[in-house]
Amino acid sequence: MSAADEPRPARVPADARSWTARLRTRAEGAMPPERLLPDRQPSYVASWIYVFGALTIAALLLIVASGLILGLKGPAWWHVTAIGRFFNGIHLWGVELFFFTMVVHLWGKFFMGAWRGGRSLTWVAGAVTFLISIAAAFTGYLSQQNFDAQWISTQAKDGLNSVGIGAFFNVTNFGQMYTFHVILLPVAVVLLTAWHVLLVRRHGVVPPYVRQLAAEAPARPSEERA
Amino acid sequence: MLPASLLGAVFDLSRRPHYVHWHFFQMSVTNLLVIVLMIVVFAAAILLPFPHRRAEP
Repeated sequence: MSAADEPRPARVPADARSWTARLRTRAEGAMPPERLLPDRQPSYVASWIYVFGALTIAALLLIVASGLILGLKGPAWWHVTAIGRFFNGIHLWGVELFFFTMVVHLWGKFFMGAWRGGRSLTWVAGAVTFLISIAAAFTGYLSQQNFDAQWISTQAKDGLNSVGIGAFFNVTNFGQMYTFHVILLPVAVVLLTAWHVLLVRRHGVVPPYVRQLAAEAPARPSEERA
Repeated sequence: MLPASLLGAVFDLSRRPHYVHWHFFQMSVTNLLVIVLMIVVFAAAILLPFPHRRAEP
């Protein structure tokens, strides 16, 4: 193939030495904007088990929205006023829904072997998001500003000290745990979720084992002879 | 009386929680129910038919 026949990048950078131009070209090559939002899916996606990833994202949006309101109004508001307790409840049940749907999504993808076909990074991104979500939920328990939070923090303190990481995380320090809960961990979860979704868009939804076996079947030597 | 208050009377969340304890295994009934419900929903998601879009002419 001649150089003229080779596929060209979506946009030639104005200045190849510019890191922003190189980053833009690379991002456009990895995920063209017209492929960001799907308008059609493979037929095997027509199953309820494929709905739980989107449900998890919906729950995450609910958590972020209610968490923003709780963070802006403060502990006195979410403990004392009726509307504050309502939003506190929305935030809690959003988290319940988030983990419920995420675990069902995880089980579905595990039994599908969703890391097949070059999708290992998608699987790892999802697994890491799950682990960070547990830390985010844990710091949420510590940020409640009630006796429950005090009890959990003193129990967790012993647990973290026993594995040698108590020096880095002072779970009895409300300010530190609150910063983890409302800034660091939510940003990590949202960014990892966005990356996870982009990887799904790039590599596509994993086909069922049956389809993969059917696709590989013609390559068998016995059938080639026939 | 509000419906929420009625529900609160049925499911009294202020009393001591019940636990399932069998050898090394110990878990609150509430957590166990959530796990059972997740398994039920997982099985239903696989087994229940998904509504298909009508064929376009």
